[in-house]
This record gives sequence, C-alpha cells and structure tokens, in this order.
Amino acid sequence: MTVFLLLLFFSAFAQEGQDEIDFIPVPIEEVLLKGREVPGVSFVYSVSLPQGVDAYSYALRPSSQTNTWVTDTLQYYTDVKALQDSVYSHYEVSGDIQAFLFDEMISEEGLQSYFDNLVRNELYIIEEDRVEDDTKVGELIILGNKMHFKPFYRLKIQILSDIRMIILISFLAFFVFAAIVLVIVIFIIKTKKRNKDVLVKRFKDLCYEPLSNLLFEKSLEEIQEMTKGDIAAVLPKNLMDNSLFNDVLIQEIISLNKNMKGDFKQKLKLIYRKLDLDKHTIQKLSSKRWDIITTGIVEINEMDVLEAEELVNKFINHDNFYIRSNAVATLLNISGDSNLKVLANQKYPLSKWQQMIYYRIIRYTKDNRNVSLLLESENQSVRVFGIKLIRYLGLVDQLEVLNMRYAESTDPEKIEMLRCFNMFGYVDSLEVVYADLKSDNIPLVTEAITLIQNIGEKISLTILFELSQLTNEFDIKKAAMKAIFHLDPIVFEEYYGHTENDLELRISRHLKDPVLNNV
Amino acid sequence: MKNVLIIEDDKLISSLVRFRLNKDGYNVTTVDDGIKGMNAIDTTNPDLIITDVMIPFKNGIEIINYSKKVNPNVPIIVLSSLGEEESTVMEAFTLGASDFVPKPFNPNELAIRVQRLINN
Repeated sequence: MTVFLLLLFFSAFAQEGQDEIDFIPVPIEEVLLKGREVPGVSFVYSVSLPQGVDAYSYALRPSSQTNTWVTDTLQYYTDVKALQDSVYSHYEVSGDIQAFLFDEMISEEGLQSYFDNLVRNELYIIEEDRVEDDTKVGELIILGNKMHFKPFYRLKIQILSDIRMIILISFLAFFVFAAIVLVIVIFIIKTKKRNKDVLVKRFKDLCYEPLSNLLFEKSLEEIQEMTKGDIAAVLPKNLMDNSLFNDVLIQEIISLNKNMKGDFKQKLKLIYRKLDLDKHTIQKLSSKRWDIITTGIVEINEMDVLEAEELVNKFINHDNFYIRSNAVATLLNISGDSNLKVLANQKYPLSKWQQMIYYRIIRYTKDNRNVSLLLESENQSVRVFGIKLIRYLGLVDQLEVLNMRYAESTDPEKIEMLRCFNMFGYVDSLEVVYADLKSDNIPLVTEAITLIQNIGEKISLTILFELSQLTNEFDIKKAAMKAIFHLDPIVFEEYYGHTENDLELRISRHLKDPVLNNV
Repeated sequence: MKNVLIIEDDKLISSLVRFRLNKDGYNVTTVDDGIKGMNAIDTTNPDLIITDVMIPFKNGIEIINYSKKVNPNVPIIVLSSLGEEESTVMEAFTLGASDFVPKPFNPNELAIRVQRLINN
C-alpha cells in the first residue's frame, strides 16, 4: 500500500516536471540573423580564392592551406554573412562559415542544442521577439520570466487539489501521529514502572526491621495480645493506608512464611491478620484484572484465609486458566472437602500442569482421600485424574470400582485403568481387558497387552498369539509377541521358532537378544 | 567480635538472619550475589560463612570452593531449598561445607548452629 502511494506520489511529480520542460525551440540562425550575439559563440569565415588574389581588403588573411583565406573570430553572424556576400559578389565564391563555441569548433546541431539549453534555462532572452511579433516562439518564456516565480506555491496548490496526495499525506501523518503516541505511552508506562520499582524497593527496606523486631523480640502470645495499632506503630504510620505498601508487606510476609518454620509461621499469620491485610487480600478478588485476582487467590492460599472460601469458589470455573487453576488449588488447600468436590465440578479439561499441582496438594494435605466423586464427574479429564490418583496414592480399595466401571469407560480412562491394574497386579481385571484387544485404539491395545504380559494366564497365550496373527500393526504385533515371550518362552519358541514371516522372525530375534530385548 | 558473612540473594531472609545473629553479638555482613561474596571473603575475613546454593553470578558450590582455597578453616553453612538437587548438596559437603540447613528453616535453630560451629 505504501509503495503504491509512493509511486503515485512520484508519478504526480514526474507529470508536473514534464509540464515545466515543454517549450518550442527557436532556430539559432533566426536570432543570429537579427544581429544578436549569443554568449560563447563566434564564427570564422574561410574561402578558397584564385592564386594571386589579394583579399586583405576584406579583412581576410591567408591560412596555412594554399589559396585559402580566413577571417579572425567574429562575434556577430551578420558580419560574417555580409563578408560572405561581398566575397561572393566579387569572386563568385561563397566560402564556409564555421561556428565556434568557446573557441572549440562545433557543428550546427551542437550549436542549436547549446542555444536551446540557454533558452530553456532562461540564460538567453530573445527580447526583440516580444516587441516585434507577439505570436513568435519564445514569447511565453519571456513573459514567464517577467512573472514572479513561486514554485512552492504551485506545488502546494497541486498537492491540495490532488486526492491521492491528500490520502498519502493523511496516511503518513497518521503513522507519524501513531508513532508519537506510542513513544509517549511507552515513556509513561516505563516511568510509572520505574517509579513503582523504586517505591517497592523503598517499602521493602522499610519492612525488614519492623518484621525482624516483631518476629524476634515478641513471643507468639505477645503478638496475640497486640492490637492493630500496636503493630502498626512499629511500621511506618503514614504508609499503612498505602495500597502498594500493603502489597509489599503481604509479599514479604508470604516470602518469610515460605522460608521460615516453627512458631515464626504462626507469628507471620498473626501479624497478617492483625494488620487487616486479609481484608486487603480479599478486596483483590473484586478486581477486573486477572493478575490481581490471581494474586489475591494465591495470598489466600498462602495465608490460609479460610473465610474467603466462598469467594474463591466463584472462580473455580473461570474462563481464565490462571485464575481457575489457582482457585482450585487454593480450595483444595484450605477447604476441609475430602471428597474433592471442587475438582469434580471442573468444567474445563485439566492440563498436565494442573494435575501435577493438584496431586501435590492432595498428597500432602488430604488425609482422607475420596476419589469417588472424581470418577463420577462429567469431565473426562477429571475422571482420568481420579484414576491417576488411585494409582499414585495407592488407593487399592478403588480397584474393584474401576473394574466395574471399565466396560463403560472411554479409551483414555481405560488406558489409565489398565496402568492402575498393572501397577497393583489386579488379576480380576483380566476378564474385562480381553475385550479391548480388538479395539482400533492402538495405545489402548498395547496397554492391555502390557497388563496381560504381567498378570496373564495360560489362556492369555492363545489369545495373544491369535492377536499377533490377525493384526497388521507393528506395535501390537511386537507387544503381543513380547507378552508371550515373557509369559512362556517355551511356548514362544513353539509359536515363532520356525516362523517364515520375516517381521515375526525379526521381532523374535530382537526379543531374544539379551542386549536389545529392553529397547 | 566474630565476623559472619551471609551470601543470600533474598534480602528479606538475609536481613532477618542478620538481625538474629546481631542479637547474639556477631558482626554480620550481607551480600546478594556470588561475586560480591568472593570479594567479601577477601575483605571481611569472616569466621563463618552462610551461603545459599542458588545465587546470581557464582553459585554456592563455587563460593565454598573459593573460601576453602582462601581459608580452609572457615566453617560454611549451606542454605538450600528442599527442591535442590541431592547431588548439589553432596558436592557441597564434599568440598568442605560444615553444615546444611534446608529451607524453610528456623532462624533460632540456625543461630544455634552458627554458635556451635564458631565455638568449635
């Protein structure tokens, strides 16, 4: 677009330039014949005369060539022409007139071109034409020379009268304006951020000593007895109403809470409560900015603000990932809900990152872990997570439940269930697992084969052999052969020892190779 | 008065530990990165060093290594997060760290360890 506009811009100027150089050339001879001198132009007349003629009287002098007479350089063409006429009338020989430009010989075309340039550049003015004949060529040039030349004025008028130029100028002006606004905005943001950083650093420095004093000089009981005013008296008084100072103070208390243990944790929480910083934290949940809401939820989590449970509960299905994740993590941490209802009610799929965070919380905070609600959830990822929890937390009492649910479960659930059965060697699952060997889902089939490999029985060998013969999938064939090899190497040798199938032969060699069999 | 050098990038923690050790009568210097830590080892001639493992520019292991070259008799306490690699902690002990305090820690307990090491 910009290139197109620039092309328009230059083409407009090119057109304007073309208008300026149009002029009608004037033959130089016409000017010279009027007795005018053209700067830099001179003439020499030469003529060949019979031997013995004396032409000195014509202001001629003999040249180096025999019988040739020449004049000196003459400025006026009319003089040379008059001389030529005189010589011709006397000797009937016309001779030649040679033009010189700054003492250099020049052709007629060259002379005309030189003259045109003089006229075009207004270095030569044909004055008599204006007086003698109004219709002659050069009149407009002379008239133009008399007028005051205002090129900028003409350009301005042209620009404003051309819509393309207006668009181009508007376009460029918009970009310049946008750039200036952007620079100003960046400058303001950077200045604000720098000022905030300076303030945060200053506030942090102000927090160190009061917090150290309270933690080391006061016992837990003494802090318990202190009022808000008592504690605030240790801190800078005029800053207690400053929101940024409260934020910095909360962050420092949380940071210490993470790094300290013993009664220091209790002291820090007490200071946090006494200073009403919990109210400041809860206020953040009303913000429209997701980062402030998330900060508030994290603070509630770190400082165990139990009364905010209901408020946090509103965010468990928030469309913002960070708000949602932290809200669930916080509720898992601070609520006494051992049924993990907050997780079961999740509408959005759980990412692996979320599952990892929730697992850590459940593992370290929940004594009574009941995953039944998770298995009943409408959210597949929650059900899968529930099955993972059974495996990770060793909830073997749930294996029977999984076995009963297996047939109606989705493939991702089945894969997790198979891993669960495999981990605990749950033999009762074999019956339901055989049916899935015919599934089109390769990961499911290979997982089922892996389970059979570890807990299979005699009939499993036949089923696996049939599967290895029927399937065209390399992964399934390999897994089935591997399972047979592990279940009974003698039967494996019977089945595949003399096989003519090249693929089976290669898999067989691979499995029997002590170096490669685990690859 | 005994000199204690704390090399810790978390200023709040270093301030808190300094406050606690000042109460016990130690002259405490705090720095927040490894290069300043090495300079402080040369200039303050500490009787004990407390260093975090993860600090800017030079890590705690390099600090231990340097300190043992300058003065092998200075005891060093290593502060470290629970998530720290076991191999790092083992390396710290191999290089001559005297004690290891995992975070979260109790500053009073740390002060007792400092006192014991300096008295020994």
